[in-house]
Amino acid sequence: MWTLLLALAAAPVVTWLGTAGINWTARAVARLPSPQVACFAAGFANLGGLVVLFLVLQPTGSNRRELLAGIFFMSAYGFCVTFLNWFVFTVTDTSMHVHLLVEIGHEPEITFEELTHRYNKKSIIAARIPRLLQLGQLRLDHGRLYLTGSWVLASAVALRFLRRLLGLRPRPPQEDTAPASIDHARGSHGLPLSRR
Amino acid sequence: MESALFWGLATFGACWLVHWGVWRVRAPKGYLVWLPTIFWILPLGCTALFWASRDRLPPTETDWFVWILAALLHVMVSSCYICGYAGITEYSPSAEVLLAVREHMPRGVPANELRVRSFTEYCLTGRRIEDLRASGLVAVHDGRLHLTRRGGFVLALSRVYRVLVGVEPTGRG
Repeated sequence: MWTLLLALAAAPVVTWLGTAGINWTARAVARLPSPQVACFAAGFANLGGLVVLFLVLQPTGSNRRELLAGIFFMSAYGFCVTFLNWFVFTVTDTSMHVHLLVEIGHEPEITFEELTHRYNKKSIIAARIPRLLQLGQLRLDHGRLYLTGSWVLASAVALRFLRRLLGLRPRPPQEDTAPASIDHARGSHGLPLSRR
Repeated sequence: MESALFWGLATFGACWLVHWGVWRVRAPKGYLVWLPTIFWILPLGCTALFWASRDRLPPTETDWFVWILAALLHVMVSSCYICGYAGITEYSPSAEVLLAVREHMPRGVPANELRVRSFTEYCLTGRRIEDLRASGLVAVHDGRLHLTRRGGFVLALSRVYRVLVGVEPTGRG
């Protein structure tokens, strides 16, 4: 009983150490680490370990429902740990807030114009495409981009559904829409501008 | 295990319904205060009230085990939800790139002609600078931006984390 609790409590640290281990090993064999993949690999290995540990700790002849519930519990917990491990990494890697801090931190002081010259819509999108290619969500063939993967898109659709459910705007404002006009159009109820 | 699974998911579900109800009335701006209050403080308060309101036999070791497991599951699922909530409100540029490419399928689109119509410069950078100013990470002096001590600390923390995890000290954004 207590072994299981200890394993669950240690799972986040184990997953993080696994991620670091994969990245450092990749560097040691002179390969570029694929950090997002490393986060998932370490997370799912940990998830498998938790399920196996649960099954090993079960007495023989255990109730089938109890076993299924335990496997589901361990899988859900392991999946959450994987998500949190990936999320923390992503904040430091892709978060625009953090990247703005990095750009501002390069100089003692910087004007808004200089900042947006360095980090703008073009550079943000240019940074995303190689990452989406690496994650197998896009394919580049003779200079043309094709959609290949689906999980990022599926999660975007799920998030759009959640926005609708919570009464938030399902899509971001479109190009050339001034912030003032957005606020005016939304009114005081925060209703969606469009249902594209 | 069955009870722990049930209570862990039921607690999350009940808290999510409260969150949904509050958001349907009016979505609060400070979600980093509201969501932890709804998902963590509210169930803690309800549990304390439940135990204080009636005479009960002291819990057995199995009861404690179930309660701890249920609490662990609830905390994990709700932490994921709270972290993921930024993705609900902030919109992902990666997803918008994929949606823009999808419009050109099955023929694909030349990489240099890809145009993502969603997102304004204000939405991508301007509003985020306002967020950073509001949270005290960046300050403006004579029209020039600079990091505050707190901003410098957050940046250093991010760099240390990335070095330890074996990647380059700064991400590409």
